[in-house]
Amino acid sequence: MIEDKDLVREAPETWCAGGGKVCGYFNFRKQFLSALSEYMNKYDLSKDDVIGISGIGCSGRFTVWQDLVTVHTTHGNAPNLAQGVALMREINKKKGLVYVVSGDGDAIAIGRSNFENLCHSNADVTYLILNNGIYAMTSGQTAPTTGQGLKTISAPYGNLEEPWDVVSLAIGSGATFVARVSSYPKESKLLRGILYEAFEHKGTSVVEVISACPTQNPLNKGKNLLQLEKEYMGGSLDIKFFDEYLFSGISSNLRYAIAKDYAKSKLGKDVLLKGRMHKVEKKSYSQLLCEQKKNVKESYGEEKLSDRIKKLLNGKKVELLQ
Amino acid sequence: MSKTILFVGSASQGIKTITDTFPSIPLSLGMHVSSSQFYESSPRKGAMGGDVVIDGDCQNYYADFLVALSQEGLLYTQSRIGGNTVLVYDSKEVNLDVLPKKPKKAVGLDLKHISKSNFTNTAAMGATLKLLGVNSADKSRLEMLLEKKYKGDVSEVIKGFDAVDFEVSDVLDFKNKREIVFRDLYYLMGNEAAVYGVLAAGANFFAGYPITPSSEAMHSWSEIYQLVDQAGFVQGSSEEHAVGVMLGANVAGGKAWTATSGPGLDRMLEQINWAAASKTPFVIYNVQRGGPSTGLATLTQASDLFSAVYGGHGDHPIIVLTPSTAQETYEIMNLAFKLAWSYSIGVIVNSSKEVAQRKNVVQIDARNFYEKKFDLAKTCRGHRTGSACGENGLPSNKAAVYWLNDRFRRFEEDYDSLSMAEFTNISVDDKWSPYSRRDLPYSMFKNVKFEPAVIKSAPEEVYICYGETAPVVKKVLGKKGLVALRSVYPYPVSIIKQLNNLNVKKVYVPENNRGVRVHEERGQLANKVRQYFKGDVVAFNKWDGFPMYPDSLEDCL
Repeated sequence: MIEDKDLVREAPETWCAGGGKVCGYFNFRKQFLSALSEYMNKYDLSKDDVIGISGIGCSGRFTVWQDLVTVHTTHGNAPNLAQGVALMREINKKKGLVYVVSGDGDAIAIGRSNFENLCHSNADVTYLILNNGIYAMTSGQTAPTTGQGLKTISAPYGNLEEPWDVVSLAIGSGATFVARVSSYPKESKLLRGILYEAFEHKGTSVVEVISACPTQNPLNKGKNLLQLEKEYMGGSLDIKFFDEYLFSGISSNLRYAIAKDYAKSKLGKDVLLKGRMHKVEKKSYSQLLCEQKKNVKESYGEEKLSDRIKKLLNGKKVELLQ
Repeated sequence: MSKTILFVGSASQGIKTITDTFPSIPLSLGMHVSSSQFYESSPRKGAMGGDVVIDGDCQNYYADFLVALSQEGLLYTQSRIGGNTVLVYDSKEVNLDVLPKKPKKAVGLDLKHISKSNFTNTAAMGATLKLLGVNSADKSRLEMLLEKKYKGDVSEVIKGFDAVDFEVSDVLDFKNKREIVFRDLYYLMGNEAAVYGVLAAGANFFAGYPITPSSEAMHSWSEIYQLVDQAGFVQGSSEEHAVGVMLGANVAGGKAWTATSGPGLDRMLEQINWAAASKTPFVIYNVQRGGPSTGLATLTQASDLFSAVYGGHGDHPIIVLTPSTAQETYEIMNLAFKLAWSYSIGVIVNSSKEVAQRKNVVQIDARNFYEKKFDLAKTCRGHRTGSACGENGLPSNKAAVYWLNDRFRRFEEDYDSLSMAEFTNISVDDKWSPYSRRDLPYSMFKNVKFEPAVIKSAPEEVYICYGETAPVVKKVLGKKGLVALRSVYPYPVSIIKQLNNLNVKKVYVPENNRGVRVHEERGQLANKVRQYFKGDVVAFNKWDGFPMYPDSLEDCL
């Protein structure tokens, strides 16, 4: 029986806490551990069966506190590493879980193409994007998720670009489970439920976790967590709201796009949709690879590898004329 | 008596086919043969060329036989007509009037008429065989051989053979077969040999991005991995992606590798430092090529020594190996895996286009391939016991740190012995590494124990070279000594220091690169040799994208 505290390793804390500034990541970590320990107990996983991979930034520190197999990688390379790890384990039929914790800058800016590759391969990875809307660790430069017009240290007269929509990007890239949720305490139940569902999903599951950064994000600065939570709850809406009258007979990958469009045009205000946006069953790259290999091997027919290789090399053999 | 035969023509005239099939004839007579496509059509108005070298691993600049099927092909190769060149040409396609220098002997054949078909290439192949000295008495055996080998209509070859009614030389002699072991010999490209080498070492994963001239390694692996249990393959969407997936597979306990070329290596370098910091072993097979963009991609060079050794940010240990033939590629790729996993270190194998895309005879013992059951838990012990790259870039778990540091300590201990080389005309203590013993040319690295080389005596003038230049230097060596390096990093400092004590006056370092551009500092390896060698260091550098040729090297020195 694994408890939450068994999964924690002693390491220096780096996230902001105290003085009214509480990083949103703390509650995320709490719910993550809770969902993970339940998942591990249900599927009888040991600590060696769970592999955590993180990229850079504040979120990159996440794996350092996990007493699991953890890898802290370079800028934007976490998706690649996760794909390799997941593929190797799937080919070798290892049970377990591979998860990535990554920031918005790591996943959507520097590692975006890698993130898309991972989603496209549908490798069995749970990809958690902690979106605080800013480059926090490097002192608050504009991030790809920073809102338009916001003044940051690298855009003193306002950010010109629209923020990236992480959910659309993930759905478009081929992720088979996509959700958005926040790390505010009031939404803990939803967060925990979605994390658990993401762990259980076979294939790439992407969860965007909206998180407060009271230290660097200009929208969050000077406000305490309760205030921020209230603002968020007022401006967000669970996608389930549309289920009753909007989604009969609509394919899953259009669901988010339609709801987003509808919310903007009909409700008359900017609403952040949350909840489980997208879920489909699709074979992963490794499943397809294993199936293909099985067929090819059967066509060769031989038992031993050396015989099969000999057959393959046959046309290239040097033969002496007698 | 090495003979260089060049087949030139235009795209879709079957130059590639003829370059691939022609060698099987001299091979089956027991001759040492190699062949390559020395240039491809796309950047050259459709002109294509392939070479076949009989009795040698490298081509001469001046061809012994130039077989021209089209005017464009001849124009692109005209500079390689030398004093002794025999030109065989399609008289309907080629006009010799445009050549500034006429060959000594020219044989014009109406190949379309002779073959009664469009297969002018196979008719030319038959004519060339006759000119090489396969006489009429041997014709029936030739027919038998062709039919056995190709199981189809070979009448065009015979028609071409019959069209030549005189004989020129006696290169292919049916009666004097060379002694050569015929068991398990295959005619493979360096790139293909690399794949069999890693497979024998137990590789089970490849992630790469296609790039000329290394792509054949990926082609070959994508076929072979299907037959191996627990093996996988990913064609990445960029080199960054591919190298990340490869390292991920290694973190999970696999034995993964990748193949790339110089520009791709640059894109991979970012990850190399992470791999070094987290002590993740990896093998990168880097086929060097000239320049950064399309066009030069199909030419050769050996200019990635610096980027392989120093590339990346921060400092990191690494091993760089350099094969010079397909056989060595097979062995060195095998060795690379053993070194990478025993020291938990990265190994870059710097091949080059001239080695990787040249077909050559390779001995492969199929017994080396058996299903290796992987236990992921065993192979990734370091990572499973803690964060692979936690505080200060080291695994945070004490046991893991100890385990990995122990491996690095062993690397430091073995550092000097990792300067591997083949010595010619230099006497070396016999118990040293397998490359000092050429009586075992096809040795696999079984139970190799490395010991630092002890050199007993050496001539006054010594060549130090590596990679594609080694077979070239062997042709012109004479009585001089030769240190043909198989590993360039660790730098061969221990060998050079011993040469200092042995009265060696002059060291030649021929390289297919420019190095630092200042003249006195020329040559990437030569730079390092100058640092430690007390006598004269003569660097010979070439960076036009074409390989070194024995005849031109002799002139330059």
